[in-house]
Amino acid sequence: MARIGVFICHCGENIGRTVDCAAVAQESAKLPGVVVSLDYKYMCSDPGQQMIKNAIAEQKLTGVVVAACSPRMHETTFRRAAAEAGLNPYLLEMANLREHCSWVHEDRPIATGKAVDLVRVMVEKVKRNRALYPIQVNVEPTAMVVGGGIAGIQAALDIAAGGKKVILVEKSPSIGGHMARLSETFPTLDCSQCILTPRMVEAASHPNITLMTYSEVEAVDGFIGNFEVTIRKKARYVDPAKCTGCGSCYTKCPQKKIPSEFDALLGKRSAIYTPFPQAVPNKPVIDAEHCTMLTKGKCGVCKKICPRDAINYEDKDELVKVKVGAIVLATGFELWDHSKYGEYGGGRLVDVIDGFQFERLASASGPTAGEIRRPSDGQVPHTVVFIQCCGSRDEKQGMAYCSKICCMYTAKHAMLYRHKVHDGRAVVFYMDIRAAGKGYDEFTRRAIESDGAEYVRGRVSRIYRRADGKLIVRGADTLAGRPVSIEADLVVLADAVVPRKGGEKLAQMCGVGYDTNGFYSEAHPKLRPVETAAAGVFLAGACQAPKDIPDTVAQASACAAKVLGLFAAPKLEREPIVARVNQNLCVHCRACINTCPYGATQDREIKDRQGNVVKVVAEVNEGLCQGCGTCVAICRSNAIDLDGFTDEQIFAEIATLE
Amino acid sequence: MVANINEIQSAAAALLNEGKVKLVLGYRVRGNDRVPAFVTQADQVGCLAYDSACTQNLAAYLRKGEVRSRMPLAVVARPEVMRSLMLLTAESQIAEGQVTVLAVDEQGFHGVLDLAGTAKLLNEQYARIAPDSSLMEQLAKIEAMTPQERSAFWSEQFEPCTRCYACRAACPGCFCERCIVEMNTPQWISTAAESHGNFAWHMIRAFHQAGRCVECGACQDACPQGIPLMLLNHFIAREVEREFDARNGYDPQAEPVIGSWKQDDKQEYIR
Repeated sequence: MARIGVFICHCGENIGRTVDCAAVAQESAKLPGVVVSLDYKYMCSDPGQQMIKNAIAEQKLTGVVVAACSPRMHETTFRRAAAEAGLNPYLLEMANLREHCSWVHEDRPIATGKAVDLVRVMVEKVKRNRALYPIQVNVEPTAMVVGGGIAGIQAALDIAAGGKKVILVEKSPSIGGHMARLSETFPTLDCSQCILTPRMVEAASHPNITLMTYSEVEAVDGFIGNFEVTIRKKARYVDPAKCTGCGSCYTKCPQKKIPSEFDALLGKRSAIYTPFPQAVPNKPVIDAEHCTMLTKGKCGVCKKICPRDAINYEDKDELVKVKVGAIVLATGFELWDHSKYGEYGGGRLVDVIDGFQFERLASASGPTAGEIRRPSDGQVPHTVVFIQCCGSRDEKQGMAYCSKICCMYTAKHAMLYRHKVHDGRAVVFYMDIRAAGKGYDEFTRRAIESDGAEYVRGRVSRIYRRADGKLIVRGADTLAGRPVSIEADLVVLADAVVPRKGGEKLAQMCGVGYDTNGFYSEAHPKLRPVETAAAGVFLAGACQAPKDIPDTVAQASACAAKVLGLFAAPKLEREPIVARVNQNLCVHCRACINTCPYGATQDREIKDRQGNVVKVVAEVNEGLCQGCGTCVAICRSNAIDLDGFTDEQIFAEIATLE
Repeated sequence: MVANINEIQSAAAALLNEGKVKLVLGYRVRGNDRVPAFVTQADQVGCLAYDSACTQNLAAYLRKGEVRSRMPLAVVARPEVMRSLMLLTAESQIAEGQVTVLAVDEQGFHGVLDLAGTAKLLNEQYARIAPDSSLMEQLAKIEAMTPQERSAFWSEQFEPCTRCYACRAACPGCFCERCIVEMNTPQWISTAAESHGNFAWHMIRAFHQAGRCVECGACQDACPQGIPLMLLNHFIAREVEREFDARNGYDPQAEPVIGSWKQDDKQEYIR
């Protein structure tokens, strides 16, 4: 016999104002199977929960209905209380008297009547509830980090420091990312490579970290704790096991005029190359698009010169499958292509460059060995104009957001230029200066007050090249209220930070959402900033939103904490609200297998004792099932039911309303 | 009347003799009736017959245990039966190698085919079936009705149903181990032969056929009460064709029209 307890919550005035809770408790007491029915001001309070616990113990309840707020709010609270009192938590149901009743009605008698109905429905359901137990899922204690920039390196190092294995996947030949390309970092002006390269080396030599450079994620299957990832190891044409990184190959390679991606296309590299001298791993790869041996079958110099016979022109892409328990996406950003701004030269003016190009000009390891020389003629510019918000905060270009880092790096650029060219003029056009951060405002003040950068508040309307080679920058000084025209030798645009091209594909593979700008979506903007809608997939760095280095490192460490938390227990517990197939009724029409959005339904062979297949049926993988119920609806044979929401329960709920 | 019955008989005998099949499923004459013939010996093929009166859809037997235990088998199949075989393949009820087709139509015998060959023949020869103009008129009339009129129209059609379930037994697409009408915890459909239960039964059956019915007509032929079941089936088939660009029973790899989705699905249907 069912022994049901009903507990009506006033939720202060939230429910009590519109619903006569005492009357609902009285009416509920008359329902068949109900042995105790009480109302209380705040059921979720300690005394309220104690009422439920006492009733479970004293009345030997077989089911509980808490009529209060939405189950999204307090179901966990009440189920935990039930469990503490010795009742299976899944024998407790909530009737939503707040969102579904008191908040949406005004008439007290009508709302009270509806509240009684809502309780009655749940009493009928809970009578048919059965005890459910959390599903235990194995966790593979290895993480995959996608992206080998500072975000990925930091996340990998922290996970590795926690004693768990990490696979760090990077699509370019070396880890390091954008940070390896920067000259100095704000607000301290310490050398970017000097602080980054020790981390790169540590990541490469850490026993818990497996580096997979020049590799890309091809497919992601599985679920939290049990992802199966296919990684494409691109053909390097150089056997990393044999190569010692001596560098003879790239010094002798006759193809030396290829624009270097690392140097933002300002420098040159050979067809067999390492992107930069401190590359990790310091093993070259062959660029198949430019190598004449691979394109035309002529040359072969590197193979002849290599003392270790490491060159293999027959090398092929290789697909590797790995099993991981968690995924950290740290795919970073790129700069918006300013050639869409016709008024800034549409990308045709070679002396109008972007922030990364300026970084490489300022970098001691860059193509000009740290001297600021403009790309067109190699002359030292005497006037440099920096333009902030190029694309950012421009809804016409589809980017309403602030790129966050440009105010700071532009101040840094102006400063670096003035440090290197003492008689030079640095003019910065800005909309606002957004320097919120530790030591940031002091930094921009220093650029203006000590280092002589001229800050002009206003927009640049046009840049064009005069016959004598000068770049004419025309704009408005909105503080002085007058137009300005500056003769510049070099213009640096602070292009908007945008997500990596093709990032949507990776997001779709992992089941992660992304916003209209393509930045990956976190699970909650305030309370779950590194988690995603896909359990077991986390976000670090600028792939989630524009970020500077300190924020990126902090978020990467947060990811590592989440991953280590996930790996701390050998098994993962999941809500047991999953679909179940009645194998006697299943005729294996495969409708559920076709329809499942999570790939959770699969074939299962039923065999006799001799091992002969007697029947093939559908089966639900409890680890993958999200309990959406689509398979239940599609099954013509009615062979699938959803635990916690069975047909029988829902039918009883509806039937009691007649 | 098909003249070349000898060809079917000799093809059947050859299959049995060579041990390629254990059973040939065909038709034989009994008085004025055409009834199914289950031939297991080559010397029995003489009973096999085929003419335009052979309307029963033999694919309905392929889910029966007695028949399944005699696979591989051959089945005499006109285009609608071939389409049933495609449906059964798509829904993993039969597989290549289990069923050989003795293809027939009103023109005659078209040879012995495997399932892949049958799919090819169907799509080459029978892809375009000219719509029956009087049927289309009837369907247009129903379409023009208000929901209330339509409900009343179908209630009236289903009124004489005695719930004998001959329609279900005749249908090759009805292969559940236990039919929804026989479920009792909870009981979704009243089993009493009264208007509510009748309406629920026929409508739910029609929805279970949506995107699947190959329009062979076996259900209507089997109905002792003369209920125009095919009107409902045609109606839904045309709707599926219009909304999903899908014709049932032509693709042995087809995913279910209802229950699968594609990026280029027409979105109007769910608005």
